Amino acid sequence: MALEARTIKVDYLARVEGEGALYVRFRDGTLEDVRLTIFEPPRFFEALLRGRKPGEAPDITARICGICPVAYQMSAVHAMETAAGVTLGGAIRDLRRLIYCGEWIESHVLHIYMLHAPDFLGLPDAVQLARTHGDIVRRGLRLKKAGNALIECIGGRAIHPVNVRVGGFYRAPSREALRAMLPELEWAREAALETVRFVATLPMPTIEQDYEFVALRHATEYPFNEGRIVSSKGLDIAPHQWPDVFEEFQVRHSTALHARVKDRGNYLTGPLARYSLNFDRLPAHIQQAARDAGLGPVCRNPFQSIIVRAIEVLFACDEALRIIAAYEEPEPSFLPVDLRDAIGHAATEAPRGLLYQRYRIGDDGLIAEARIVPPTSQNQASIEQDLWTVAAGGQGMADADLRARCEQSIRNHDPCISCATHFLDLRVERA
Amino acid sequence: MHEHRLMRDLMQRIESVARAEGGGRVIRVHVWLGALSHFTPDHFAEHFTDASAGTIAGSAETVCEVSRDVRHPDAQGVRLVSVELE
Amino acid sequence: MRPRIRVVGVGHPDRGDDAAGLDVLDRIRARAPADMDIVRAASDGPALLAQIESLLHVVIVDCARGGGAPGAILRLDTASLAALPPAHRHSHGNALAEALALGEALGCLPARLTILAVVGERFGIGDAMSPAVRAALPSLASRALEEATCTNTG
Repeated sequence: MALEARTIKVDYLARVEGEGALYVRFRDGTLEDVRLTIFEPPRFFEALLRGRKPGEAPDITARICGICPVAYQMSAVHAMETAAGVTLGGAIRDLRRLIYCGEWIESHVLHIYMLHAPDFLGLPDAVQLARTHGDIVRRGLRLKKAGNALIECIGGRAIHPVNVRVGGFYRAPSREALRAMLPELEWAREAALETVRFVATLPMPTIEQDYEFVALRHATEYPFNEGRIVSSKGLDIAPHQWPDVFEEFQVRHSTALHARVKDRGNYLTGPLARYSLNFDRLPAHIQQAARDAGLGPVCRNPFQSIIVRAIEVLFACDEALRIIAAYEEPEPSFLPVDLRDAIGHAATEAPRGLLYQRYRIGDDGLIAEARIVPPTSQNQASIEQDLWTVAAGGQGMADADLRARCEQSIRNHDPCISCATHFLDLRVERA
Repeated sequence: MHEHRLMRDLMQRIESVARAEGGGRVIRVHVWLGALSHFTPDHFAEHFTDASAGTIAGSAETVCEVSRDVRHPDAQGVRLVSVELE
Repeated sequence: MRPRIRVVGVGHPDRGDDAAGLDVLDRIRARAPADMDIVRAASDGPALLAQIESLLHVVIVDCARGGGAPGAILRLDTASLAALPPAHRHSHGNALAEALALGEALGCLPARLTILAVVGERFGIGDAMSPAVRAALPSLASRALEEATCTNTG
């Protein structure tokens, strides 16, 4: 029989997805599957880094994220310095904490005011919040600007800092340049305290999750660049042991890698983990501000992460003021770091959580291997776990309400995709 | 990446249509490209060739209708209009 | 002192045609008059708004997805932007769209704002710039400079 071509009319609209997709399936009213897919740019950059000079790593990795370039730079320079056996102290170390303060402020404030607060207030986005609560949004914008200004002053540029280098800084900012920022940072500290009070008034769903928290812990400080990697289930390791204890694995529904503690499972990094593992490292008046906002020393409610972020903004303003008051220009502004046939690891605390990088430098002095594990991929499995909890209670909800609740739950952990205001491509299947 | 995801979605639909119609080979696919969909016919064909390789629609021809209307409600999307089976 | 005229390049260096807005900045830097400054756009809406708020005259150079043939140059000004339906002004995760919407809500947009965008076709991470967009860069740069130096308010 001769086959004839048949035309089947379909008329199906395929939409361009955002940077994230969520698939939820109910069967007979019971939640059966939850899959979250998040696009991860670092894989591309790992390939890009191979064959480049170690000194290029801070510049290349800064391109991975426009919101947290400093975090990528900090993990890169510390990994290279560890490979060379160089430890930096004094004013260079302080400047690195200071530039990180700037990034925590701008990144957390962006998240609190532009993305997360509208969720709690039932508004579609920050533009609506600006229409109804103009003064609140203006305070957020000015506070964010203070963080960006700090990054710009030390990093040379706010968007893609160029002044950070392996071994220190190309040029150290002058004492006067930093002191000129003091009045705005004094204002910022007050605004941060008002932010804590504001987010404490938001209607807060009450769920408690049994996370394994993972964060850096330092002997005396609330952590940015240094410390051991500890967890709420007893881990206590040096950053170079990361690959011995954690593993990345491919999941069936995503090209992204997830991470877990070997032989144990999901874990959570980020503000909740940092705060809960390091509450005793916060200055007493900030601990008090946290208590006044309704937080205990450990916080397992992911929705309350908005309060924890506000506390960390307050801490970052406070720490920035302290560092600037004591600052003297380092001389020289960097130390030479010679690298050949070496391996280095580092983990630092990005606003979104632990950011681990590992480099192998070959005999030719070029990068032979690069591995970058951002907080978002480490948190994906825990975010899915939250979504199971939230979606299981949302069986009777309309898709639009379920979407809003799921988006809010994902935004609790500020994954990189939440840069996109309402990114989520939600598919609900009910069988 | 956007393009890859969209193509994946589209391929799933094409394959399910072909299966539902008896599983014949797909020889032609007719699509409507929204004005804000990121695709030109050439770029779409290139992505389709990659996405369809080894599937029931491998080596199928693409016919694209390009919309210029940026205010069309589906301007950001790609519409699968029809599938021609052998 | 705040500049009188600011040219802002929007884009990402590793996403194919999306680098066009940044490339143009390098092309016009040497030819810019003294009262004009040239900056790379911030990655998020609030920071981008801080770069343009309450200025007299801003020209934004960007790359558009769709809206014409690849390489075509689109021009939008404050009036034509307002006429676009909201869904397209507030597209997902777009820092520029968010900056403009926020600025509008808070009443701090520049007095005069022009957007020049070349229509791109490749936006994948790691993609090379397409030939059509590459060929359009010199005229995009000239148009941006013309817009920025043109003093009539039309």
